[in-house]
Amino acid sequence: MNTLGLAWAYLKRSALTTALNVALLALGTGTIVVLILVGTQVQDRLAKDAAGIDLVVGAKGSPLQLILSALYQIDIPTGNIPLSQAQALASDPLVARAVPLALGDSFRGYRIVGTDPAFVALRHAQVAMGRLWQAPMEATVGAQVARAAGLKVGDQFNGNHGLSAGGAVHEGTPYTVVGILAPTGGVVDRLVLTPIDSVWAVHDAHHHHPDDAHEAHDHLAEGAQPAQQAPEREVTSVLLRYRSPIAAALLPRRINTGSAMQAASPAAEMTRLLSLVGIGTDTVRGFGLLLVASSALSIFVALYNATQARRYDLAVMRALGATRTRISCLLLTEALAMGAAGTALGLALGHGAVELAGRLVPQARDMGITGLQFPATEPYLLVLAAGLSVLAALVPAVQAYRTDVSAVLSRG
Amino acid sequence: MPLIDVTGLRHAIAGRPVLDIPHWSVEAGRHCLLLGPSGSGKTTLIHALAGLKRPDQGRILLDGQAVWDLDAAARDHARGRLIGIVFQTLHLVAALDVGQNLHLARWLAGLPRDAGAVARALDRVGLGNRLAAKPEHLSQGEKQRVAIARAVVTGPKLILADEPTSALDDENCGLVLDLLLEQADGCGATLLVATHDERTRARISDRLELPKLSTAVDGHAA
Ligand SMILES: Nc1ncnc2c1ncn2[C@@H]1O[C@H](COP(=O)(O)OP(=O)(O)OP(=O)(O)O)[C@@H](O)[C@H]1O
Ligand SMILES: [Mg+2]
Repeated sequence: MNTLGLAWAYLKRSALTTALNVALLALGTGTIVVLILVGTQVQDRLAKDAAGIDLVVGAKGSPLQLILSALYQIDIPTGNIPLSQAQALASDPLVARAVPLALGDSFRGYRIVGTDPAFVALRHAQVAMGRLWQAPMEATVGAQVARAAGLKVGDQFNGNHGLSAGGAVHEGTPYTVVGILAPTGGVVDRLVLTPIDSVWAVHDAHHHHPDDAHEAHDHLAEGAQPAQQAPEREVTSVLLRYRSPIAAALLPRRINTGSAMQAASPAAEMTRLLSLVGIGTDTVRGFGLLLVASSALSIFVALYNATQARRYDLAVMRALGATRTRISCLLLTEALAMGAAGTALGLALGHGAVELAGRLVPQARDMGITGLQFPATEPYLLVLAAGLSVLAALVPAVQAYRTDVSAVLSRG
Repeated sequence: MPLIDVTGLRHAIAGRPVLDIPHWSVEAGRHCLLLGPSGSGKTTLIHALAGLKRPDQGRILLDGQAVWDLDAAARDHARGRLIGIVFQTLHLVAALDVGQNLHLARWLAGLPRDAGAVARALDRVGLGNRLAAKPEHLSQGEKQRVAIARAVVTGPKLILADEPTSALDDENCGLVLDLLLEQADGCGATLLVATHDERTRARISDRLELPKLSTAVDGHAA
């Protein structure tokens, strides 16, 4: 027999109440854990994918859409910009590096991106097998694309029209896999990289196809006129790195006011996005805290009732030689045990749910969401739960501490 | 040195005197009855002896130690070590089984865990086979025996029994008294039985008669 054993015996005796308290606490902490995990991982991913890119230039439209489409490859592009203007940007003295992107097709839902090999360096990716693309219709594919499609170096595949799976297949212009990139945990894993010339070639070749009549607005060849001999080449967007900090003050304004293009800063747009999404997560977090608080209240009520019902038990223990402190410790131990069990269960549930989502939900899997990450904020959750359980046990414990044993016994 | 030594004990509740014992002592081994009508202060005296209720005046020496000079925690420890208490309403801890109730008493008395001592104590009251039973599944008589076993399992020097027989029929009254005496002798403890039960008088010769000092006006009676 010891305090833990005794606490366990009492908790077991009121198993239903105990289970309810533990479940309430587990739901509360679980909700908070999910939010913390998903929040930090999404934020990390967004920050990682934006690393090293100071500015994104594309067609006019929503700056957030431009960032999402060009940088994170999740939204549709705002349109195209003339190649000549993109090239002018690259030679601007304020720009250290400019990488053009041409979008329009996809392969099994993975985007085919026409770009320079400089893109790979900009995104800190490395070749795992084979080599980088050089000639038109050569492709170097991201790790996830290779895994999902079972692609090996030397394989050939056809692109689909449009950015989502299910578009018409571009027959007769197959890509050849010349390399596979090592996994980066970032957006590059989900891309098929090829020279911009390939994208143009595919669409030039298919220009007389009847199904090209209803091309999406983001389609590269849209601007091309069949009647003209040399249609102006276009790209979708340009990723820029500044040469000096002064560029941040000059370049975006110059592009936005002095050209038909739009410049958007990933940092600014992501702050804006997170503040928008933040309202939603704040609400859910508040709800989680409410659950935790209500479970603390429920533990308080349970212990309060228990001390009333157990007045004689506690008095008898005093008569058997228990000190006041020991009795108070018993109640605190019961509360802490419920608190610890609830929090542990909540942590397990939260991590389990996120891990499950990371494996089963395709979007979460693409984001590389995992439940096997343990953020530094989690220990605070344990402290919070422990603190609340002690708080819940405080009034009953003090009450038990002050009980007049003689009075209770003689009334029994 | 007497086991119990009381001098100048006075206590009043709500302004009415309840106890007035100029001197009273009990030698170790001399079982004693605490007699008196309802409201004469028997329970009050027992609680004062056990260190559960501080008397207004007077000194109580238990095995040579002044009970009320100790600080609260030391008094609790002394109670656990020296005294076994049998309540009229028994008060077994319902969340624990029979064996655990006895382990609880030993633990609270600061004694090491001893499954053998627990088994022997239960054997001696004829409940060796009910170790794992929950109190709620015991008959009243069995509960009574567990309560007595719990009082002796700590090897106390003094066993305080407050009205252990008043709810029992004649036959059981005799059995319980026999059991109490036998168990007290078995562990070398001195038995102090508070009762207004006439049937107990024949069994124990030493006694302290408490007079009723005032008439209860609130109708409180056990
Ligand atoms: N909490 C209390 N409030 C008011 N009066 C009390 C209280 N406890 C005891 N008394 C009074 O103190 C006196 C002694 O009570 P006590 O319980 O010691 O008597 P007793 O001899 O044990 O009686 P019984 O044989 O009925 O158990 C009684 O008159 C009782 O009414
Ligand atoms: Mg009484």
